[in-house]
Formats: sequence, structure tokens, C-alpha cells
Amino acid sequence: MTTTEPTSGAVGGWRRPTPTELWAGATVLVIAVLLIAPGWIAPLDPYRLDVSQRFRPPGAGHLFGTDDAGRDIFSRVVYGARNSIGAALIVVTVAAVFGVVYGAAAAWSGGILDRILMRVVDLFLAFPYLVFAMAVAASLGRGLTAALVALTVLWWPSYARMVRGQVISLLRDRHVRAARTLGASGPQILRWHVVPHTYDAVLVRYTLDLGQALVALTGLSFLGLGAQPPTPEWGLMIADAKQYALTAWWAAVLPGAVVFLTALNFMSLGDRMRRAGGTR
Amino acid sequence: MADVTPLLELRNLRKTFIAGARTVQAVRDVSFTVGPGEIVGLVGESGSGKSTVADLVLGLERPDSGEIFYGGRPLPELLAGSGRGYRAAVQAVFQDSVQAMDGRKTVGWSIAEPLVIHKVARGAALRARVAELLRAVHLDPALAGRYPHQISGGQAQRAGIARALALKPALLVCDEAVSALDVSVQAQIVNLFLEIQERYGTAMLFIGHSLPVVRHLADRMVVMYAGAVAEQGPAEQVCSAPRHPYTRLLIDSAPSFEPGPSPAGPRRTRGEGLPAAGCRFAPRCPLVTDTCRTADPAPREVGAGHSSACLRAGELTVAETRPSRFSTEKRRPG
Repeated sequence: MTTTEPTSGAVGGWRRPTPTELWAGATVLVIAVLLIAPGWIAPLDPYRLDVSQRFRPPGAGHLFGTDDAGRDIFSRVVYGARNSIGAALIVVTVAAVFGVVYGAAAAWSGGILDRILMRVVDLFLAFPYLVFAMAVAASLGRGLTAALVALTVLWWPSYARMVRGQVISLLRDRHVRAARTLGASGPQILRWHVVPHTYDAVLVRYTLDLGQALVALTGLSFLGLGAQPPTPEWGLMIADAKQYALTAWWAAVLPGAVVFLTALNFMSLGDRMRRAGGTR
Repeated sequence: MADVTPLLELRNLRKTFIAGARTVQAVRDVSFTVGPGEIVGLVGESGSGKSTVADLVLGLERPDSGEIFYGGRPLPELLAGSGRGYRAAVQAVFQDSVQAMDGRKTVGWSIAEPLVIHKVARGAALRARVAELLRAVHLDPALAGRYPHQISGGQAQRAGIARALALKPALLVCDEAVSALDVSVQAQIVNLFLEIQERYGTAMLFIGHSLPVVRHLADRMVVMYAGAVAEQGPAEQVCSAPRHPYTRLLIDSAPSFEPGPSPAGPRRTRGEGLPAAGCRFAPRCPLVTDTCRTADPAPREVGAGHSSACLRAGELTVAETRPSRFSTEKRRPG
């Protein structure tokens, strides 16, 4: 198995990015800043308690107001991105990488092995994630890690199934037959000529799934199966705020709106990418 | 050519495809040889099984029975393990090189690929070799940076040839390698093949459906009909004095610029079954007799290295058959 790849020549010149690409680029940029340097955006320490500042409504000093402990909600939302978006990224990335490899391997092996591998996928797809998350939380202890594990374990099969179907059809493609006559080995054919052709579809699903995973993760935290206090995490913030939701509506509504808009952004971006089809 | 050990020998190859309830005998009892440095043309209409023969030679399909020998060694033995020795010696040029190259990789990448797989070169030497190969097929080395869909059909075909030549093969299997091209480009590519044969002594199995084009290249000609070899022999003889009525039909159905009625032989309509017994060409044959419908004709020697699978081959002489084209009266009703 060689690891070197034929070097590609100079790729065509710079072209104007499409609106979808600009949108995706902006999303990546914002998330990168939120995850790497939340301090650039957040004005205050998300953990600092200040009883004198309890239940301040949204305004000049506190953009999103403050909660029952006087913590700045906007700062907590910004720092919470690590636990909410960051966790969703981990879940979907691990699931996508594992699923792609698993699906490609199943398609390549074919026959009985393929059937066994795909029955395993069906088994995982049939599991309700909430029940499974509770079981994992029971064994690993409640916390963000348990939620991450539970979701990842249930998330990869959809990638495996999608990629397997694509690989099966790609293996019949003319460029794959041609590569075979060149003497390319199975791993070379998969790595160079088959799996990269599934990336467009995987990327669309990945983007859509980021939104879904975010909702699932914040949901688990809301139910107490994910992040634990005092971690700034969006779902947990909403859960904490529900006790005084009638007096300090902002403490629940504004983090909720952030979850909603973030998920909406991923899903509509993914949808747009799907409609745009392959970029090349 | 007869005394030389053949480079490639096909012996009684058979291949049947099963599609649902239907079985298609794509190749039945095909035998012929390709000598070192020889260009053998393999012609026949679509569905005659010629591309299946290419797939069998390239090891993309396995024959149901029969054997393929390369340099005297059987193909399964050569393909065992990585099969790279055989892969390097026998390379393919396909009908549509744009499709045969990976659309996500540059043309240069595709040409470099066989060199990387066989660990022939890397780094700067690899790039130099790719440029050299592009020049060998009269392409600008700058095209290496383009993607297959960014170049013309003729350029893509040249790039496909460069890719096939990368490993300095002894045999090129050209499956309809010029069929999809414009006539003017076709001529250029045919000349390129001739140039390659002259310069490198590469043997070729040149598959096509246009007899005049293949004739231009081939030393010997194999004509296939319905999965079997109808006629084979020296290209000049097969084309100027065909000894099988199907070969004549092929010659006469080639487009011509001469005025007059278009030469329409009885056509086989799609889905029409082949006869269960007798000569498979009988339903379309203008010279058919009752015997033809019952007796299966075996290939018979009709000249030096020239054989025909026609019961009436002995009666087909130049004088008797050449003047007229097939009449259209024998067209079968709907």
C-alpha cells in the first residue's frame, strides 16, 4: 500500500465564490472564533457571580441580561458555544469519519460480510437515542461525555448506509474500471477514486447533521443527561432558567433563540448545498 | 507472422451474462492471437461481444470457459496476487477518456497514476515523465494542470493514450478508442496509434465498429457477429475479398460519399432473438440456404491465415460477390 499520491499540477485560477460558499465560509469563521477565542467576544467572565446584578434585563451593560446568580448571559452563551456547537462538531465529525470508512469497507467487501456489517447498522439505527443516552448516562455517569458517547454511537450508522450505497455504484464507474486496468490495488481505488466522490454528499449531510446534533445535545443537557452546572451550556441554561421564566423571560428565551438560529443556520445551509449539487 | 509465438492468445473463450430471466451469450468460442508488435482489428456491430472480449483480456471479467494466454502463460496465473506485471504489460485505451479519468483529479494526476502505482517514479522525475508523455502524444505539457472536463474530446483521448503508454506496455487494448470522436479528430488519433506502433513496437488489439477506420490500422482483422468470430485473416484480404456475408455487410454499410441508394442490409432489430440452431447470421443473410438454418458453421480455412465461419464461404469469390451491394428486398417485415 503506497502512501504517496500522484502530485497534481496547478489548479485553475481563483474564481468568485458563490453565495453558498460565502455563507459557509462566514459560518466557519464565526464558529472558529467562538470555539478558539470566546474571550474576544464575551465581555465578562461566564462564571463570575454577582448577586447585586441578579435578573438584570437585556440592556447596555448586559446584552442578554443576567441570570439568578447575576452571571452575564451573553458571555455564558458565547462560552457555551464550546460545549454546545463544539460537542455537536465532535459527535458529527467522529460519526462521519467512522461511518464513511465503515460504509466503504462494507461495500468493498461485499457478500456475506457486507450483509453482516449492514445488519449491525440497522441495529443501531433502530435504537431511540433518548433511551440509549439514559443508559449511557447511567453507566458513565451524567455529564457531557456521556451525552457525546451516546450520540456518536447512534450517529455513525446513517453515514455508513449512505456511503455504502454510493460506493457500490461508484465501483461500477468507468474511471474505477480504468484504474483497475492500471493495476491499482483495492485500497488505492477506494482512497483515490471512490471515497472522495462521496465527499459532496457527506458534506451536505454533515452540515445538516450539525444542526440536528446541536438540538439533540442541548436537549439532553436540558433533561439533565448532558452538561452539569455550572458549565455554560445552552440547553442547561434554558433548563436552569425555566424556574423563573415568568419573571426573567430573557434567561430562557435568548439562549433558546441562539440554539434555534444556530440550528436553522446549519440546516438551511445544508439544504442550500444539497440543492446546489456538486460544486465541481 | 505465423511462426512467431503469439503475445496474446485467446482460446475458445465463452462468456454468458445473466440478466434476470434472460441469458446473453456475449462471447462464444472466440479464438484468435495477437503477435508481438502486431495490430489486430476486432470489428463487429454493437452487441457483437467485442467489448466483452476486451474486458476478458483486461481481466475485468472472467471467462466462463476457455483460456487467455499472455506470453504463453495463462491469465489467472498472471493476475494472481497484485497482478502488476501483467497490468503493466497490457494497458487499455477506452472509448471515452473523459470518463475513464477521475473527474476530481487533474489530467497530470491521472497520467502519473500508473507510474505511482507501479512505483516507477516520484517527485520531480514523475512530473518530468508526465510532461514527456504528454509531448509524446502531441499535447502541451501545461494541460497536466487541467481537469478532464476542461479539455476537448480529442485532447482527452490523447491524454488517455499517454496514460496507457506510461508503463511502456507491450500490448494496448483499444476499446472503441476513436469511435466517439469527430471524423477529423479520428484520423489524427488513428495516425497517433500508427506512430506509437512504429516508435515503440507496441502490439494492439484495436476494437471498433467502423471497418474502414480499423482497416487503416490493422495488420489482421477479426470480425465478430453475435459473440462468435465470423471471419478472420489478413486485413487486406478480409476487406478486399471478404469470405463471410457479414463482413460484406459491414463493408457495404460504411458511410460513403458516392451517390446512389444507401446500402441498407437487413437489420437486426433490438430484442429480436437469435436463432436457436444453425448459423446465427442466417436471418439476416442474403445468401441463406436451408442448410444454414440447421447446421452450425465452424470456422474453416479459406486461405493463408484466413478463416470464415460460413457454410458457403467456398462459393464466395471476388468476382461473384463484389459488384452489387446487398439488395434491400430481403428486409424482413417488422
